[in-house]
Amino acid sequence: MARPSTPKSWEVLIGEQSETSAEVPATVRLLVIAPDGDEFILGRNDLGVYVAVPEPGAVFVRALQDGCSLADATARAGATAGAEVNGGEFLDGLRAAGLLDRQRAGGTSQTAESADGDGRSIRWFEGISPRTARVFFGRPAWALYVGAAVAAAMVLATRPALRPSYSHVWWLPDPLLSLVTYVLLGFVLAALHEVWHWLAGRSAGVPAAFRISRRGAYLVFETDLSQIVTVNRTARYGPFLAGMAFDVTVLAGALAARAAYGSGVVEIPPSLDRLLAAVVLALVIGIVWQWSALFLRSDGYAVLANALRCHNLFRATVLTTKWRIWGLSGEEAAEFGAIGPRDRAVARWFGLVYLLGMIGTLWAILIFALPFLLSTGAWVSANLAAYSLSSVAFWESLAVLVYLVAGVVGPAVIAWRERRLRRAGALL
Amino acid sequence: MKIEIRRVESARLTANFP
Repeated sequence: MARPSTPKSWEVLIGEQSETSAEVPATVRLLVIAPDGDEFILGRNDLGVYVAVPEPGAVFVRALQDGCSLADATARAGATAGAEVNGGEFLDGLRAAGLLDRQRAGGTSQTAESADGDGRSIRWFEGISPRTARVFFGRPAWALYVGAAVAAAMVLATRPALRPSYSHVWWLPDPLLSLVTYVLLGFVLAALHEVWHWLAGRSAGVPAAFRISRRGAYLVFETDLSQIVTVNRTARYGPFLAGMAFDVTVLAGALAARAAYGSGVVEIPPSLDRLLAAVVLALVIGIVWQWSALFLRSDGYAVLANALRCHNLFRATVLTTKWRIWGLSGEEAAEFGAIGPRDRAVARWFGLVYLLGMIGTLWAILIFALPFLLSTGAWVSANLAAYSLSSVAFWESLAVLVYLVAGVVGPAVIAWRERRLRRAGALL
Repeated sequence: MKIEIRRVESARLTANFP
């Protein structure tokens, strides 16, 4: 029951525990507790907010959930810690982290709720049962994915003619139609990559939220599986690697078809062979990106941070780098101070990877992406003037131009939006 | 002793736009 007289956002327990009613919010019952090595994860599945605490913190919350008073819960936590602890201060810390906020509107079940913190994500259909989803991520499935990765690597190593080249974008005689279809194809492949993350999350009992985000200056589809921090670290690798599992499987299929066609084993239309070459190009770019853009928080980053048992490595890395180059603001210093020693130790060397990677990315944008953007933009802009409104080429050119502009404006808008969400504690 | 609270980052997995 809320107290309308004060503008606070949490609710209070009433009734038999009246002596603690002002101190212990009822929302403490919404906290989930999960072990993580020597530590424990406390979180709110409905808000998508999670923190790591030592064992006394978990004992304290469990005691409150069992109906203990603040004093009793503090005593239990102190017994676990072997030292005196301040339960009120810890509770204030949980409140400051947003973990005691009111249940989100529409958030009824704490198990089926989506793990998104920004409220604008698309809730996806939950029509596939976890049991069905597990078919795609059992041992036989992973054997298939690993086999596909090995097969694709062997074909690329031994058949130079099948290696991707940027010229493979132009798979049709009409360059404009080639570009439009290549972009559409890339969208389909990217969406299916994300669906595989969602499916793997489903098999682990973790819901997903989808959004459009950015990595550096590039737009991305993003699947948020935040609730995965409540399952053990080993079980997190599957969902992290699921997108690339899809990529390598399609890649192996496309390469096998091209190899068979090239050897004269099968007959397919030459245009289909060229389309498969475009598929190979898009997939190889995607896979190389996932392992080379670790510093931009790619899927490979999630694997690395999990292997290093980190909690908040990305912010630790950004803040370490900022501190080295031009120092931190008071707010940033406080945020950095609240990050654990393990994350900060890893960030000391990962910060160098981050800095070199950012310099490399900037260089690549200036050398490759910007010239491509300007030349393609000039080409389609000239088309707009040259073709009539009734021609297909006019509308294809307009579509490409809109896409190019969105690729420049989008990341800037998203950077602003995500900074706002991060400062509100809604998305980390 | 103070019970430290460490924020945990989201698991955010991506695929680039073409």
